[in-house]
Amino acid sequence: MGRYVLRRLLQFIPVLIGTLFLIHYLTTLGIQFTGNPVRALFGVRQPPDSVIAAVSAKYHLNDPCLQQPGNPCFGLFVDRLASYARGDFGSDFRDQSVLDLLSRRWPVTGRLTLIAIVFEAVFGILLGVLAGIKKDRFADQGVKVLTVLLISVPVFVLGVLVQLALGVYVGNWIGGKEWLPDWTGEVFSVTFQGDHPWLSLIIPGMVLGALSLASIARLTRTGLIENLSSDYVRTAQAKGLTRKRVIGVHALRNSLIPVATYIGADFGFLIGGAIITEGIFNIPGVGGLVYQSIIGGVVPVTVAVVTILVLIFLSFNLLVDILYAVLDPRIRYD
Amino acid sequence: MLKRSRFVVALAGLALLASACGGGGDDTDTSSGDSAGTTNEGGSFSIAIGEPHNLFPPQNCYASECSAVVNQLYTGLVEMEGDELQYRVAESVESDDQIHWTITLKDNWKFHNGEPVNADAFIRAWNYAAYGPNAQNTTSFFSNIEGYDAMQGDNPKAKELSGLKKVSDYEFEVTLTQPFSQFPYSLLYTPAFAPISQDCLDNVKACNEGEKPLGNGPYTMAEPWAHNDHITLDKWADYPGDDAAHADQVNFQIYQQLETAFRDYQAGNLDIVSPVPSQVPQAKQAAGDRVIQTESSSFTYIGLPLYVDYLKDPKIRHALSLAIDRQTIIDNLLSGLGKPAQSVVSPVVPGGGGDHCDYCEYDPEKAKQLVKEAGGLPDTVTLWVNSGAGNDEWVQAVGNMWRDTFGVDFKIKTLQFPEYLDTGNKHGFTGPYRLGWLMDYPSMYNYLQPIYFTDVPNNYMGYSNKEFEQLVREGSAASSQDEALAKYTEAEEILIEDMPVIPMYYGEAFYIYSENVDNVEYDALNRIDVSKVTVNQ
Repeated sequence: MGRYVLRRLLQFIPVLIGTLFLIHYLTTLGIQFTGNPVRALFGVRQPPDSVIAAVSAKYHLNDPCLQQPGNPCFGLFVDRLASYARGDFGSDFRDQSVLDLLSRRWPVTGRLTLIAIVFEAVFGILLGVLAGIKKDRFADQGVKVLTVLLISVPVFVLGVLVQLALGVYVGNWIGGKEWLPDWTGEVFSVTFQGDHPWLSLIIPGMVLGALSLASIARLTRTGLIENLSSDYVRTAQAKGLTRKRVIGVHALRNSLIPVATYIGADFGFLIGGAIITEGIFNIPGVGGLVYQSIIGGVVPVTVAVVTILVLIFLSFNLLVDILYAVLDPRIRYD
Repeated sequence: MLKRSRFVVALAGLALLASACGGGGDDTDTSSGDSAGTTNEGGSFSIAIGEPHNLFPPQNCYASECSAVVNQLYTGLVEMEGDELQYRVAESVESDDQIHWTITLKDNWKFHNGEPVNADAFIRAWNYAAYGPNAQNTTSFFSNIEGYDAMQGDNPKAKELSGLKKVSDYEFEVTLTQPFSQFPYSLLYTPAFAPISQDCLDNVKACNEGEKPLGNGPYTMAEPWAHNDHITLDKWADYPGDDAAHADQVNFQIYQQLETAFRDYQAGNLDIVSPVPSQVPQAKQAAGDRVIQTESSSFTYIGLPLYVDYLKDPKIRHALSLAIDRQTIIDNLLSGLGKPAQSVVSPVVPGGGGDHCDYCEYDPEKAKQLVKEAGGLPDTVTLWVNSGAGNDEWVQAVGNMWRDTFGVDFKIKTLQFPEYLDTGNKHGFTGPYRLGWLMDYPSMYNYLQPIYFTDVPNNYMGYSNKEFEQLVREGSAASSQDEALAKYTEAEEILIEDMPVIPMYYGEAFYIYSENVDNVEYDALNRIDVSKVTVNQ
């Protein structure tokens, strides 16, 4: 087990350097082909070239290789690695260091991800079990309809509808009711409230988790149905175990292996930020940061954040692989 | 599948309808009423903005989001009331020759920390902004002050503007490189010309990272800037000016997307908001008469690169302009937020908004006639537009109008903004292109010089007319504002006859506000006058 983990960790290094270079190259190409992002700072009111040059110099965008399309700018790449080694991750055009930006946004995205994962895992598995043990009956059909709806409604439609229904409509209704506890107003708010960093993220988290909830319910249902007809379940039943124990411990545990894979991947995916959901609910998370930095050509932010995202994704993949062994004793790593 | 999507659409429609009604239904609850008679001091209100670029140094702020806040934290030398220039921190700004300006300050102004706002406070700020290596976004505002050039480059010879001389604690002299009668008006761009306290300049990083810049304005930072969430300002009780704030607290709520802000308004969480164009009809319904729709400084035009062969003939330029039905475009594609432009200077500027154009009415017959006289258009006209700014649709409409009138094909070429401007700089446009302008300060000069003088940064047309420039210079050397405006107007008439750009429309600002606030005004400097807003309690 230890050697396996070590081997996997060592594999991180080439992946990371490769990613760093790829992102560096892509952002470099972006500048080479679409022009100096400093120009966009000034909008329609362009200052004289001397000002553009001074601002470009301040943010290290004055290297001549940035004007040669296709040039991978190895010099800049080495400089970047060197400054990373010194712990300097650069800053954006507002002179805010990348680390500051990240430390402000990770907690928000982390909370949102956690709420989404808990929501999708708990309700997804429950619905899946319900559908699985009531196969082809009313409950199963109901879950099927619900999951198809969730999968097929795009998140920007779902998000805006939920925002209008729960935030504006229910929120307005709550606003006039003094007998309701204060926290209800925070839960049913239109946007994220910095003063209530958990409560106001519950609804956005549920919107974010809705799609995966549907997938998890379906995965659980399929797995459970398959396992319920397998030999070991029949053995367990023959032993005279209660139905609760047969389903809860024997069948469900095996059915959860694909679900665990899915949740692990989803965790890595969600922690990278959910641009659309964040945008709708005005949540200052990582997704918006990545999006804005790409649009604005803020290279230091893009490179640093994407690299960290890759690292997180790799870690979660590793974690999921280790979890397999816990769920399924037949799987062994040495 | 079809059934489902219909269901979703119906659901969406229902929700929109419900929310529109929900917002409008509040109109009956006017217990507080309009506060025309009573004065309401105190209270707090909220207003939506985007995340500002920065708050300190104010000199690094050259965008509307940051200047909305900076203008509350800092009070400049001058202010605009209607069409009149008013002195704030300045006692007077005077000159005999329009080159040497003497600025006298009132002696009772202080920074929020008690430091005096004296001549040094301005000189240190302006020197900081003009120094090239500091790379401040507003640095070009100082380029007409003597000694600016020596402060540019990688290793500038000078660290201070030789054109700034302190006369006494509350008086200093500014020497310009050439006569500029509009100098007092240019001072209206407060972020560039704001004073900086010695405390903050000694430690720019501390004032910046503490996120609580020290200014001299009607409001102070109540707490450090909560990035991407809110900026809360408290009324400064010791404010010495006569334009002190009415509300005790103002909360700038920061939104990534302004669509969301309108929904927060509907839910009663926000007092003042500028909905996006697509939300305008719904917003008008929700806000009733609590709406501001008024001209803004934005001027949108179609530039005509004069280095392109077929655009060299003024008849062709006039014809292209005559073939555009501006009102139809505004009504159908811009939610009615605009006025057809009959010239190149926005009506919000004293002397602007005049009707100087003989070729800006929709007249396809005359257009065809002119094209025939000029010998025709090429088979295909290429229209250029920058992506992601919501201009694609109306530029497409212009192309359609030209196709219908002249029978030419058109192509639309879309580029991202930096590349778009680079292309313009290199004279790479192969046909008409869309661009716009926002004023820095309310002066005709600010519309005429920065776009149409030979080789200035925003002149992508390659336009050059010595007579026009001479008239603008005469206006800048004029000893009275009336004389200056007369000269500028003469210049404007020459310009519009040359037609290096096709004037399209003057933009309109659109705001709605809640029952919670009154006296919400959009002022001559194109912003909501936050300190005038009163809260109904």
